[in-house]
Amino acid sequence: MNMLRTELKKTNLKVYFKASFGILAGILAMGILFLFLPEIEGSSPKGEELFHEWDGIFMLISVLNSVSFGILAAVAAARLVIGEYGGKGAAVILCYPIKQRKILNAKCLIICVFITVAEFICSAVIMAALYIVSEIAGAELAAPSSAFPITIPCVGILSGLLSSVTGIISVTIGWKKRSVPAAVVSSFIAGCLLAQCFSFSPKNILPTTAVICAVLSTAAVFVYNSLAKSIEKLEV
Amino acid sequence: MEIIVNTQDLCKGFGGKTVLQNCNLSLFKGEIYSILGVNGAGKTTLMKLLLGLQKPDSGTITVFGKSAAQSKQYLYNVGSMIETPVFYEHLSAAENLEIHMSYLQKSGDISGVLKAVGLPCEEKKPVSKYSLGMRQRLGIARAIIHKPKLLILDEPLNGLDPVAITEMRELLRGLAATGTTILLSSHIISDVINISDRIGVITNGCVSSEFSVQEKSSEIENLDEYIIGLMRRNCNEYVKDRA
Repeated sequence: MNMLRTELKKTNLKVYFKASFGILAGILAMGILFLFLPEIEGSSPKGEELFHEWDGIFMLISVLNSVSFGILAAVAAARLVIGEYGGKGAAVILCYPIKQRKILNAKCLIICVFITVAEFICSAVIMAALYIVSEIAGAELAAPSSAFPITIPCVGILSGLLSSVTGIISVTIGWKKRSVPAAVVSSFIAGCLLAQCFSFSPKNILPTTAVICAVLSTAAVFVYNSLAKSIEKLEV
Repeated sequence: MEIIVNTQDLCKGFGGKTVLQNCNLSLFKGEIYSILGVNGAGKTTLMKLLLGLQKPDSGTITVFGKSAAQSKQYLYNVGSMIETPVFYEHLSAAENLEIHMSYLQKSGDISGVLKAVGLPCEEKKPVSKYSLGMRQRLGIARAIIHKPKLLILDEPLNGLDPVAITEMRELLRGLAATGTTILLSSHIISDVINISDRIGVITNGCVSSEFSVQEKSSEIENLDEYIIGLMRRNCNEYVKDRA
């Protein structure tokens, strides 16, 4: 608990709050565009059914959220881990007679909690805002499935976890190169691959997210372990 | 006299290049020992080995009578500043020191130590706005706040003005008088002579010459030139050996 408090004090969360707000604003703007896309286009050609129903729009919003927050998680993790252990600061932090894994655990916990909560809030706010906009502007969308009110918070949390896990995997790749840009690029590539996975089954977003999240979380445990071992053996 | 640090036949190399070779060093309680040497002589490497930041290829390090390889617990009683001090830039000096104390699970007089190194204690200015001299002062503050028994300072006088150097000298002298052992390195020979009890010249990967400043001062009129001569001679020998 003490370690968590210390790491929180060190971390400049303001930057990530601003970034999260930016993501929210950007995706909300895109969401509004999605709402009115059928009316702008005038017709509904095949393959664009996604824009005519709440489930489809929510899937698109979730994918955008997941990719954006995945990149944010990678940036945060890279700054906290590579910034601390990859630079000159390593000579300071490694001088403390404490297990570096404890510090790393605290850093990763902060990232996971922040990203999950931020993404959950972002997802909920965007969907609520889109609903209000559709009511005011009279956008005509097919009624959502009965499970929709439960799907939104569940997917919001799972997507948040997914983004955090993506960030941790990306930072491990970045750590191998001691490079923050390498971590960010990795997370971008991972985000693109995830978007492809979601597109295979757009109607079943909750099970799809849950499966991907479970697979990546398992992978992240092994990856994180290798990162922690590498840092514990670090010489500067 | 109580031995605080002892290294025996310490060897360390990087990528086939030997930096330290059979390096033996002993530091006694309450003394200020300065290491001198040309760039790349191995001063920083020796300090990093003592701090556990690097592992020796061979040889032993004993700190406070215990093997440094077996436990890092001795680091609770060690203060250090290696190369340019690095801080959490968005935080103030006091907040940086709070984090340091939190890692060490100790409490300390933050405002007192900031005052001792000549930094304003109430100021909320982030460290990113500090000058090189202020950062150096803060680095020293971080090294001494937890009242360590051993202080390892790599070029602590860099970037300090003459007044600050005098203040630091007095501060370090005061700490040594209370029993703190200080190991420091510097390129400013005149300051090293003024501050140190003993000086060791490191060349060919080991401490090749070692003397008491007080004794040598009474024997030799110009100690500065003598030390430069030692470093240069050893350096030339080293170049000849390598060739």
